[in-house]
Amino acid sequence: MAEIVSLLYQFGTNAAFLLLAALGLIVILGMMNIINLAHGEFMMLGAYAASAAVHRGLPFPLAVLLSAVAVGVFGIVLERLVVRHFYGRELGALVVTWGISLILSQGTLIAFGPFMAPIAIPGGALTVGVYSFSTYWLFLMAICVVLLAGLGWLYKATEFGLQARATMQNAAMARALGIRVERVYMITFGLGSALAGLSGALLAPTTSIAPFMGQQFVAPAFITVVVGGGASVIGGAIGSSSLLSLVETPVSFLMGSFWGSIALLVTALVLIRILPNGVSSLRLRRRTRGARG
Amino acid sequence: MSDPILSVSGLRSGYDAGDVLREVSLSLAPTEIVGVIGRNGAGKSTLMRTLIGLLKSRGGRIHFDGAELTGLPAEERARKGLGYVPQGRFIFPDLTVHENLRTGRFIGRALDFELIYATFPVLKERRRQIAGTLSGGQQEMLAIARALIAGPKLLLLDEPSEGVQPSIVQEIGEALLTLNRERGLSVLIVEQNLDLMQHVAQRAYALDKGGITAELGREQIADEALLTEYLSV
Repeated sequence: MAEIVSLLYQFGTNAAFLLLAALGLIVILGMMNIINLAHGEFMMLGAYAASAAVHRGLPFPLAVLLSAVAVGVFGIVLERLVVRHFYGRELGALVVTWGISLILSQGTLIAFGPFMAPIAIPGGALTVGVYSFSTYWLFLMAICVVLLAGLGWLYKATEFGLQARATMQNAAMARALGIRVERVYMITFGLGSALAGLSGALLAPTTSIAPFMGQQFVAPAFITVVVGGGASVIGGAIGSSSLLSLVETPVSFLMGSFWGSIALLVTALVLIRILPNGVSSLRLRRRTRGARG
Repeated sequence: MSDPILSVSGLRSGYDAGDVLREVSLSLAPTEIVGVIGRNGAGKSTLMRTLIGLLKSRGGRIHFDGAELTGLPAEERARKGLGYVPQGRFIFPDLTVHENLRTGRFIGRALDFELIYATFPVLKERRRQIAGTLSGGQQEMLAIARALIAGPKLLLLDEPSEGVQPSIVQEIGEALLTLNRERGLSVLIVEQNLDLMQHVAQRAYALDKGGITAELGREQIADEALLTEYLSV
């Protein structure tokens, strides 16, 4: 019994980590087809902002919200000044966001040095049998559910969501219908940045805070995005993060976290081989087949 | 004749390879339905894309409903009352029929869903269906409905009969005439289908090699042999 709870907890932790790492990246890539290579650095900025706020005596939840807003605003400023000039040129956007990532991490190193004092994991621990679980990670799992539901609501139920989905499917046509596509892009980039900042702040207590910490998030974030595929942005993220942690969790449990990471990479490779368009293409395939039948 | 709702003078535009339109001038009175005919490659779709602003003009002026459109982006032209139905329809395939219509309602004068659904009842039946799974004719109706629900003063209609079964082409023609009669909608229509052109157009321009070569009245449009000539020169 305790083992099952522990496995479930590990599974939830791994899935929550993948989702948090990937969400901001997914929103920007899915809606704008921009690969934001500065995603990890946006998360780093969120972690720095949250830690700085906590060290100055702010309560942690407030520090997290503040970081999300700050990184969101920062993203909008970058979008207006730099990124928007590269729309429709995927490679250009790739290089320019990579440049931004270098400036951000090196700039942080120069400004704040190689380390920042860590912040404590909030909350305590629950004990089941011989295992103990951090309530903070349980809280992060809940946050993931809330974030996914919130994004689903934003894109399915609001006017902005409809404008964003129309723009994603055909930006020229959206323009011809009077949709202010530039504004949609600006808000989307801001939202993706805010999500990266939020995730960075939320994960800050669980890791060491350093200028190059973004790197540890970027690989899992990209793997989650690629395995998820583009057919349904949010559905893909849920599907791939649960599939990947479904494999990673038992392997880590039995053989240690090193082999767990290897299992995650192998699973990603196999999945991309079988489903080149990602997990979300399964849903689309079923839907079109249903429509023909 | 009252002040034209659309007047275009010396319009020049094209793609990387060079100009497709050179010195196109035309005008449209309010509540007029005017056709543009010409063979493939004459520049008909280029003209429509330039009018809505998805293609930048390289010279000339576009004046619409008392405002200068030249230099405005497409979204602002749409907001001034220009509706656009592209060749190939470009409905949003992953949105439902109803969501597609909602995308046309973000601008000022938007009409009620009921009016549009009354014009195209089949869209109401299928309002929850994913638009990409509609037949070609239904998609064409949806593309027209999506433009109409914005309440445009002038509709730019590019090849609505392409890949559409004859009964639906006829239905589209009737809908255009009704909206023209009841709501004073003006239409600029590019069309290769002679039946539809003869049914709806009051006047037509012949476009060849990127320039207007003739202006045809109602009687000339009725002359099938003459139209065929313009399409095949």
